[in-house]
Amino acid sequence: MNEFKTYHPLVNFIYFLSVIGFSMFFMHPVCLGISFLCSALYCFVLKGAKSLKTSIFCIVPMILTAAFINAAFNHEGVTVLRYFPNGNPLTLESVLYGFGAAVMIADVILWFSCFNEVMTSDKFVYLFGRIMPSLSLILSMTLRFVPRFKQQLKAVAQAQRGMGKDISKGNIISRAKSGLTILSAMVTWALEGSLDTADSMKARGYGTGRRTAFSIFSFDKRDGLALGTVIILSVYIMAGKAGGCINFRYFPSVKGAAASVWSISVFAAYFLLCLMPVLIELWEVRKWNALKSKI
Amino acid sequence: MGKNRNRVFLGIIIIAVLAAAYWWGGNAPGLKGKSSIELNEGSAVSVELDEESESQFADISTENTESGEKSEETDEAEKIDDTSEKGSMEYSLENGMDIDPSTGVDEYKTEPVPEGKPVPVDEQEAEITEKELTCTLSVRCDTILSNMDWLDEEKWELVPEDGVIFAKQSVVFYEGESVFNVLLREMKKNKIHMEFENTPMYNSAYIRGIGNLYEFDCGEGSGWMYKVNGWFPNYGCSRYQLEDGDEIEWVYTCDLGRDIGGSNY
Repeated sequence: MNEFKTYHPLVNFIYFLSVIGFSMFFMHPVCLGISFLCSALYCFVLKGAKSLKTSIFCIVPMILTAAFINAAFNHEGVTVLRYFPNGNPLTLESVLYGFGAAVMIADVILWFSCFNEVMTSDKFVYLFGRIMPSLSLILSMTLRFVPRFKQQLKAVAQAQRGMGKDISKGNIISRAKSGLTILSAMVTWALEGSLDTADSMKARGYGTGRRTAFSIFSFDKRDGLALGTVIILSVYIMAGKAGGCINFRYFPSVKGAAASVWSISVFAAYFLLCLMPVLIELWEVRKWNALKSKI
Repeated sequence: MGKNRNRVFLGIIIIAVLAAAYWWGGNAPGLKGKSSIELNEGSAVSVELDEESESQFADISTENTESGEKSEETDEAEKIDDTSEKGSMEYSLENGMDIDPSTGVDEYKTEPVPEGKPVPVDEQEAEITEKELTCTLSVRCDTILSNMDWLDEEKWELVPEDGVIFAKQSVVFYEGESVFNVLLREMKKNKIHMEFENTPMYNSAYIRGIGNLYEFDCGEGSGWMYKVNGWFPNYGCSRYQLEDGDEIEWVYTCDLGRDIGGSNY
């Protein structure tokens, strides 16, 4: 179900680095659209329809709010639609820009939710354990802490409920009281846990010498091929950006670079890059079916 | 040893980045270091430097002769400005400005106005009547023409060839209105884009941009300034109450008013 995840961590990381980077910097509407479509599709492939639905429910209101807020505070642009009561103009350009910026944020959020699914903390430590050991250790500990904290919170809340202190019942004061009890228990637990961790690490000789990390990742032909594709596509897209064929300006008037064979090929490359994990997935499914039918 | 060397390198890189940010980020003297800080010291020095910077950009500026003429005009204007009176405390107090003697400024940080000039009137206290009066209004940005290389390329198309955004013409206003009221109404009426921002500290609107030409668009010291009957008031445009026949000029400066002869700094 998740073929791209089985690739070498380096391939995963370079892929998300370039895709998220491009999503953050390309404001051309076509690029935004490609990125949004592909990230939503990949999110769906990775996590299923339910998860995608919840994120879309958060993202659509966010896009509309951002477009509105930008137009309320940014009055630049040559197309004046109407005037605010205080006399400042409402311009088409600021609405469009707000819309574009919001789609960009949505893209990045969706890509990061895919990133979290694919780049697990063991992959992260494998990649960065040598270059910045303490940072990657802290990162993996923190990332692990959040779900652990959530789990413990649930357990404590349940135990408190068993004792008759339910945070979902009663008036606001009693609810706040029982909530505080839970919070105090959680803080104590977290502090105690951190002390325990520190003691345990010291007892195992942390910091006395170089650390090694166990991993079973191997870089084979398949990974090389994928990495090569990602790098070639990225370089081509960056060359297109540097050449200005996918530039788009929002202020003072909306104007994009003229469509040409070059710009269309860059868009195609971007589409291919964004769609790569899904294509790999489909290819793998096809291969699996082909192998099965032969037996 | 190797670790220490790395640290030294890191330090040098950080200092280089900070220096570059200081230079290009606008805190360096002059316009990105192109002109000089000595402009403050006197008109004689500033004339020399003006000419120097003019010749520096002569090859890029669109109309050489015109900008040359302009700089002469500005020099004259600067001289006039220098000889013009400083703010007069007695006059301002007499005319009802509420100046705090310990700080020397009024409630909204305005220093005393020169003798013979109108004192600021807060828009909350201004009484606007039905009586129609006329004044002249013009909006110009010709200083940009001689500094085109500082302007973002995307905005070149917005600058009119003669630098006139709103040609000088007679407009109607109602007794008690301020310069800001007139500008807002005329820009709306003529479908010219204009953005402002209310600044409570000075109790006035601040004009951020007219015709999509904004503050800081043409160098770090650029923005819109106004003069009434040739004088650059030392308070905001919402506090300048107009009289019949006043001449309002909105002009774009690229150098904190020095290039248009209206430096309040």
